[in-house]
Amino acid sequence: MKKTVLFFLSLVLGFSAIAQDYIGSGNVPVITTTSSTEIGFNADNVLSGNGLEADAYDASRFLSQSTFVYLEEDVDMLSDGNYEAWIDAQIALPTTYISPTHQVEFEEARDIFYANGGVDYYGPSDKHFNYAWWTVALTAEDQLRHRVALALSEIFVISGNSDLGAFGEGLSDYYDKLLDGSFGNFRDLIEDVTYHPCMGYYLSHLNNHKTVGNIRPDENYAREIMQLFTIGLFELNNDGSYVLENGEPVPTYDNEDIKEFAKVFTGLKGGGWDEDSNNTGIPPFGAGIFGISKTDPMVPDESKHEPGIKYLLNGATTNSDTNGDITNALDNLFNHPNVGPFIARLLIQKLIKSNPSPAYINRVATVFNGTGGGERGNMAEVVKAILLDEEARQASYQLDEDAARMKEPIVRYAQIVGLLDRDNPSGNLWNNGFNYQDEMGQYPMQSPTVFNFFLPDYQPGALYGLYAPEFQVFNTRTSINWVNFIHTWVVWETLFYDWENNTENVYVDYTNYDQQVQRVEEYINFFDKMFTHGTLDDFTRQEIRTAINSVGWDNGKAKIGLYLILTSPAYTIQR
Amino acid sequence: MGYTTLFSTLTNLKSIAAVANFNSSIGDCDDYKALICFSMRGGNDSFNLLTPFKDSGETDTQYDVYSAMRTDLALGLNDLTELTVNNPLNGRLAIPNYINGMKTMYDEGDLAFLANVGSLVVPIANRDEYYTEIAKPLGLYSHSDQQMHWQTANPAVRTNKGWGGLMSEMTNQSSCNTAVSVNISLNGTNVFQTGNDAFSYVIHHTNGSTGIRNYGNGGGFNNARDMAMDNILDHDFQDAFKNAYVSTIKDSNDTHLLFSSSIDSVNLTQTYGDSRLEQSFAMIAKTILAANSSTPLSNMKRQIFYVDLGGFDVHDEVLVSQQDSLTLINSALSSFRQEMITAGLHDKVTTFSISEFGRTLTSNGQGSDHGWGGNQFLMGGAVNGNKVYGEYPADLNYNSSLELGGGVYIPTMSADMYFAELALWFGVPKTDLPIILPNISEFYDIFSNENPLGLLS
Repeated sequence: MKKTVLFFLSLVLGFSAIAQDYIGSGNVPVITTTSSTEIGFNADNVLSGNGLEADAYDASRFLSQSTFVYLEEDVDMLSDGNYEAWIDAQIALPTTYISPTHQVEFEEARDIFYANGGVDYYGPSDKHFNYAWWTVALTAEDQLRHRVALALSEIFVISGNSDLGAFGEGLSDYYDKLLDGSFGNFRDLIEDVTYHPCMGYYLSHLNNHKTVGNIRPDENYAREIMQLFTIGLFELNNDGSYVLENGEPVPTYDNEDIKEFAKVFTGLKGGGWDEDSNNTGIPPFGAGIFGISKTDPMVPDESKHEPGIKYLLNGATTNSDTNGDITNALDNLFNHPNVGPFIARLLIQKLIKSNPSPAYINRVATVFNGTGGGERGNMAEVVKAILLDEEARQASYQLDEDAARMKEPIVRYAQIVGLLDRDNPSGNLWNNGFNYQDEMGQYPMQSPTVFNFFLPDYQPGALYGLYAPEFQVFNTRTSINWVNFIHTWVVWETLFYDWENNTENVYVDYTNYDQQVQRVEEYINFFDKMFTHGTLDDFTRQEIRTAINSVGWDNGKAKIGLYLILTSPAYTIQR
Repeated sequence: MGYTTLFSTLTNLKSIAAVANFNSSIGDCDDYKALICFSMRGGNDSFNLLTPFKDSGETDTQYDVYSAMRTDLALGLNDLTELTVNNPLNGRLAIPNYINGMKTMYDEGDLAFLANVGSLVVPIANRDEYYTEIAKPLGLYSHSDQQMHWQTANPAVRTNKGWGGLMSEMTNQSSCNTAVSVNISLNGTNVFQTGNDAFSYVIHHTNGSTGIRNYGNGGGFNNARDMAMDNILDHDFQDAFKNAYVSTIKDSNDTHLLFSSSIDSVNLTQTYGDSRLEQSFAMIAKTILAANSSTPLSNMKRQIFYVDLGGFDVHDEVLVSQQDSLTLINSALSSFRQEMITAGLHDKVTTFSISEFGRTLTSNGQGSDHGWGGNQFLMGGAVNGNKVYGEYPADLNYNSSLELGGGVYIPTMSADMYFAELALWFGVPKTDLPIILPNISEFYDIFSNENPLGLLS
């Protein structure tokens, strides 16, 4: 026990020994150690006592913050601590887009359906987006980009949990724009989002008509682009705190501003027809989402665009055609001093911790701002700043009470599927997963409203004064469902259910685990390293050890060990 | 809104104020009341639920307009049973023969209909006013938006706070039984039951509540798992986040154990069909009985249930599909009502229907499309039944004052009026109605001595 304490000290002090290979493990994602006897209780002393595991734990922790899938070989490789080089390499990788996979998997699923005698196949729908999302999330090399894109999808929300659910190609194309935005420039990102027909539908600036008589332009997009996508409700200092006047926060905009921005976002119509419509050319103004292309950016119809001067924020104006006005308005928002701290906080919350310090927000926002010569809005630099910040990396911060974050349900799920040995007879990684949305409260691109699954300012009663957004979807129902999902995955062995007669299900392969669990400590240590980054406390560890030892058969031992590690707070609460 | 700390603080202050008021108007813990929100998802084609009527041979009646507009979707006179109608302006009205159980409830004064009710931000008198800048619900004709609006009573914005959830936070059960949420859902979490902090306790229509799978079921694996989980979930991790995580799971599992033992200890007297809807009403009945007998659930003074039935989005095959759905509803309500009468709880339980929109009166050849105003019903011992409330569109013709094209009608009654009646019956003081129904003052003077509609007593 004494040595375990030493180990924790070494973690806290940021012990930086050169990484060595984990005892007996090779570069495969399963333990192949050949220790000959039941090591028993002393094993964790032996393993942690050498002090060298700290770097592997730290690497595993870093990868859990920046990827969906990481294997032991990745942890080994990154145990040299050169995270910056890894990030640079990730940024340099070509983008793995969702759309091509979506198209291929839609066609394959359709062919399976017809081969089984089905008629009138439905889609591509959000089901096919789900299939493609999982395939790409679990196989793409550019993991960091995908992890950031998921975060962006929870800021720039459109949802298949609406009529958009019928348009898998639209959801995929939109997600591809977010992938571009992950390491691109924020200004391009908000332009892509603004012109996307699915966003146009979701926030109703598609076919938004200029003022006619008493009918005024729709204000939906004008409001949400300010409140949710760029600047938020109140003026911010660069460290994310509110600017105060007479002790009160200062609103960033009022209803008159919304009316002016609503005029800007008029005149956009579909940029092409849906393939199935048999029409060609550009659709007329008023053609709805069902008829138009779900991927071609919206285009102007100048006759429907509000003429005249529009008053933007901070004294700016615009008086141009549709694209000119939108360009000016997006520039106006992009250059608002709020954007840096606003976006910095949201992204830090989704990757690192729920309660970043003002200093941390300030450092990241400064990178966003391009202060000191950088390019304003360079998202690759922002992501890098978030991940490499001392508050994200240095062990001294990890034990602060507010240093934690509840890992969001979809990331918890993806990292389990990503790491476990899989038995995948079909070779496909298709997951319909809609029940996860209902039962866990989160699923990619299925938010119930534009306000995302949970709010950045959510404070559960049990964490008085601390923000913990993900706790908003952790309640009487979802908490039990979470434990039971783990049961389904690791006890019933089914990771994925498809909707194609379950011919494409994905299971856990216990072949190696049934062997490895015979050396209990190594088994626990392996999953502690990978899933809980060396933070499995002695108490939980003893409970897991006891449970494994009290089950009489190897597969039962392997399963109960995994079940208890994954249900433990150390897995879901990320520090 | 609903996005900033500042805003939540304001809302919370309001809720606290409301609780104070609410306590003064609510009785003791044995003053039990339950509301059941029954949602017909997809948009019920309610022109075939509450239908104009005439004697055969009559001409130039509202029924003739209905029949001409509906073409293949019109119910024949022989398919309909006439209702006694209290408001002569509504003309003669009927319901389909196949919901004869509901006809009985109507005749016996336990069921009422509401005519042409829908989501509104402010009253809209006619189509001329509609085509002005007058505020209209966001996303008219969209399922997701209109479902949200019926559940939030706030159609000018997209919010995920529902009036049931907000109302439940005003009930302040703290002096009574807080073991289980006031809000119980048979169909997953929903906006209706989501408040600032409140959310649905979700149960299954036959299995009831959900706990840790196989917990307490015995066997080597389960026993070892149970013991480890018990210890881990009880442990103080010296970490607020981890403690919040384990205590949520533990409390949820404990709630399940308590809930299931309560449900298991009551017996129903009526028989219910096997469909999910009928079984859902059986489960609701069990829960209500458990709350009103000596079980761990006893002493709950208020309960709000949510149950829904899908399949109303019938762009084709309306007649067959709707008959199937309404027959199920008729059966479920019949068993449930008898159960409540037998248990002596009939006056304390009110079931009310919602549906995101009515459908077009006109046919697309096989079915109807998304509309706006529609007809609803409510049932219970407290209902002043045997009446049709509100105004059925006086003129169903194209281009009549309420018609917006294709047989879509501007609602003549705001859903807020309907909800206000239910909230008042539940115990919300009139002056607190705006807390749960933000637009109510557009339709009703909350300082008035008269109730909005007089639906309940």
